[in-house]
Amino acid sequence: MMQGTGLDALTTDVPLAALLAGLPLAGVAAGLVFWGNARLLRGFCVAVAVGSLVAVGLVAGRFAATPLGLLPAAILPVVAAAALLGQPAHREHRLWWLETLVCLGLALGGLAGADIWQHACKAALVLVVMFLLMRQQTQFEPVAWWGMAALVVSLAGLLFVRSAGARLAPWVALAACVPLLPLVPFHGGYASSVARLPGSTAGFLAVALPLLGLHSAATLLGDLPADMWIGIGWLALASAVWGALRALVQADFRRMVAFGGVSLLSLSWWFAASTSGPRLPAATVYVAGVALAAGGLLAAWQVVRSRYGDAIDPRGVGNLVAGMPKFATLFYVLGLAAMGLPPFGPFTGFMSQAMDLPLAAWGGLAVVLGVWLVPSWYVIGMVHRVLFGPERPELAQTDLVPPEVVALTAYVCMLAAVGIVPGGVLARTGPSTIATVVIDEACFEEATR
Amino acid sequence: MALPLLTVLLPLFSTLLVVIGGPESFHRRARLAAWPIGLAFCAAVATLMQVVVEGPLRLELIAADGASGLALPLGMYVDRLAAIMMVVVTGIGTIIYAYSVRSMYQDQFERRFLALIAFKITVMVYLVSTSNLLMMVVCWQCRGFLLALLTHNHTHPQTLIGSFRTFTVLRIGDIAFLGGVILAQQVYGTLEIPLLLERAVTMPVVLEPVAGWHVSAATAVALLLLVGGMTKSAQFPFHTWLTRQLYAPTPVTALLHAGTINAVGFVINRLAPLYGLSPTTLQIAFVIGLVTTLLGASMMLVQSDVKRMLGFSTVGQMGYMLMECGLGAFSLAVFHLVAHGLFKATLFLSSGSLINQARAEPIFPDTPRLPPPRPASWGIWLLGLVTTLVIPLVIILVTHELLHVPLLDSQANVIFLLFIWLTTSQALTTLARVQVISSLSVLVGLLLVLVAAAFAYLWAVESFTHFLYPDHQEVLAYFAAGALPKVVFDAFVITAAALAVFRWHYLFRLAQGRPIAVPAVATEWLRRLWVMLANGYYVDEAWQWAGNVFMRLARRIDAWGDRA
Repeated sequence: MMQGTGLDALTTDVPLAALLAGLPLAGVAAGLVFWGNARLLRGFCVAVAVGSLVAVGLVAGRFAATPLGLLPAAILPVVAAAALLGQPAHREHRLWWLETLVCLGLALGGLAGADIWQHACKAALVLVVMFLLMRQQTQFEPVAWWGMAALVVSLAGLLFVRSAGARLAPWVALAACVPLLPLVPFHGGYASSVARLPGSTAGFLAVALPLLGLHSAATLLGDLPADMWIGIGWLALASAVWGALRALVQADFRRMVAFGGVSLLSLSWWFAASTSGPRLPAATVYVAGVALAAGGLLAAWQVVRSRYGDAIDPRGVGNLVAGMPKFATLFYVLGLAAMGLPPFGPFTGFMSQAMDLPLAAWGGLAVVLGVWLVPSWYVIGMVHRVLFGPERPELAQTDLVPPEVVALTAYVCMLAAVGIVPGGVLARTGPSTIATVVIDEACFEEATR
Repeated sequence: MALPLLTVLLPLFSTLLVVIGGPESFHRRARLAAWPIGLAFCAAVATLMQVVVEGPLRLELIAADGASGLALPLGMYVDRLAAIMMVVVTGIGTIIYAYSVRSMYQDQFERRFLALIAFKITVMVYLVSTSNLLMMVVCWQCRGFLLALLTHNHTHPQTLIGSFRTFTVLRIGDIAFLGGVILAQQVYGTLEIPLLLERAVTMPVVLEPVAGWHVSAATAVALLLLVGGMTKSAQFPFHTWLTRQLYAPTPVTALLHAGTINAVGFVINRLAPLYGLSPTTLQIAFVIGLVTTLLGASMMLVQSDVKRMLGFSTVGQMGYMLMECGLGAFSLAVFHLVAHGLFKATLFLSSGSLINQARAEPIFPDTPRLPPPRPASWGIWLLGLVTTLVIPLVIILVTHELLHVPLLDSQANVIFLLFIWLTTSQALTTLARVQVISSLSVLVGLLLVLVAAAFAYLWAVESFTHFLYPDHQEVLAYFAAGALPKVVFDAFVITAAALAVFRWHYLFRLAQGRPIAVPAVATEWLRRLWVMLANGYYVDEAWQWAGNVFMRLARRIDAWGDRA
């Protein structure tokens, strides 16, 4: 169930994890020096994120031993930088940038460390998210207690996973994972973070939480009993359908992204349940692809919010394509990736996981294919509403400024890169190994007749 | 080996030529970009000749084993079918692109439009020549999306709605196609088309989706891919998107009706050995094709808009093409789609000038009137029957005999004979107007034309079949796979023959000024039928209703979730 043993893991992994987590956290402290100048502070935060990427590159070889490999650790600093660049350099955003760096540090620590260290970083990140959600409450948006409860479950799981008894251990391990890689009814933490937290933090957490959840699942759920996987499979199907239906009727863009994320990420639980554990690296490609698509859409929406205000209804803007062609192009491409069109990450990850399935899973796969279809309605519908819709001559339209272009282009490039060069995860040489296939001439004759 | 690759890359080069560069040289570049597409056509013709001489060509750029680290394999498998399709796509593509350069001149979205047209040609050429089903999925989805983009005009609300609905309907097919590809990979362990077909033939696999219910893997895969093709080929009940494309620019409509829509015929031929293993799928295809043919043709009759009329005509033709596939006449379907593509592209590309001409010289059509009643005469009746119903049948039978087309061994040939008979008889009846058949020279002329047409058509079809499937046993095996149960076949033939005679009698009486008396109740039903036809059997409304129900359910779940 648990990998590594206490002190050895602590001594070998602490330097790596401390380096990766420490750099952004030290950046937060150093960033206070630039507190008075918002533009400079944002530039510094971006530089810290890029520095984290360089640090990840320097210790890339060490990630080969981690469950998910280098991909998530390489993605997160780029996502952080893109999320930061996607926000205007304004005084009010300064705290959010530093919070994003805190989250980056803890997330990298969670991915790079082993055993105690990774659980500690993840638990700290969950605590930070809970704090941010508490702080974000307003008269109109009270605390999402359902989401907070889910995060508490995750926190408890992460804290007690090492000390739980044999009977409780699978449940505790599962509790540590499901709120991060969302699964109904524990989806509230993820959904609240994506739908409620301010700009760059929400965009970053939309990518970081699912990847950390998958990391935990790959680390902790190796010995889960078969009947638990069956239960998870059913729950995942329900969760996927639930999320898809809710996303379909959302008028609020961020809620649509949140429920769409719940729906599509639940599918990774179903795939894992069908093969009694996540199939890596295909699962990594899929989760990274879906999470990046969600993060990219949030970054694009941030562009709209920065021009027309926080509480803007997508139906209130329209025909942005006329005055914002660069934004329209990048937003449309992100929408295509989010609805699973090739050659982007979600498509590649989905296909590579689906091809690994046993034939017995076809009943579930039919539902999964149905869920996979639904974003074609809600994502493209929302994109059309924002870009085309009725003309609003009274609204001034300003196209993307260079940092925003860089931010959205980074998401598009990452989505394409994850989709096109995932490391040969689609390589197949033989038929499904767990196939429930009958090969019998007489039976075949009867069936074809 | 370079020729197939050139056929794909040259249209891509045209796309880049249109996209890259400043506005001052745009029109020069746009005109210049027609040449690479034309050269691609030449390369496709040369490829076809090479394939005929050397056999199928294989080209592997990125292996499917994933050793390169790339997710998507890149390769080509060009056999006779692929080569023919490449010639058709690039040929029609060249004409349409050249037409578009003039048609879209100084349009607000000219650059985007021309680039998309050239890119769509690239995607279509690769779709028909790829060696891997996964890449077919990629091109398949790209093609649907490009179609939505090409039909999209964000300054026109109706076009926007049409484009959105087109995309969403096509996505239903994409998902079914995706399901078929996943199942094929799971069962046969490969998506490389030649290897997959080989394994499908040599590995009889039976699935048991529900305890006690067996279905062959070939049937399951073929059915899923068929549903994918049905949406693209506007088969009932997915045909509604096609007639929403009225506002699309004419070149797009031409490209759509000449190329994109032929998807199902191409897929079935590409995977012919797989479909040959699944009589069930072929029978389902026959039924869907028949229903689509009847509905498409009947809806076409009541349209008052020329583009809608052509749209429903395409629906009917696609139904007929699927019916041919369902009967195992795979090569005939390809022949049909090539002929239909050329014919419809011509009609659409010339529709603009016809409309202009009509606007310049408005001529209102005559109100249909019955001719004055003529005295009933058995002699005239008999003469009409023989010349416009019996002689065509004799001519067609003799032509079949002369060309050694087996009628007794193949149900498909009998059914096609019936259709040819009905079509020629209808044409003769319409042309001769029966009452003027007293002119012997006209009658003889028409019959001679019929002899020539029937002979040329059947000869062309037979030659094409031998070209596409040189192994005659393979053709017979597909016919056998598509055979209907004997009772159904007999009933079909008897019903079709009875309808042919009744239809002739009805038209004859009409031409004589003595129409068959129809009871008032039937008249009322006919009126209702006309309303239904004019509204496309309310299929669109049914989809809308289903969508509304689904959305109501989703809203309830959302409200419940919010409360929770």
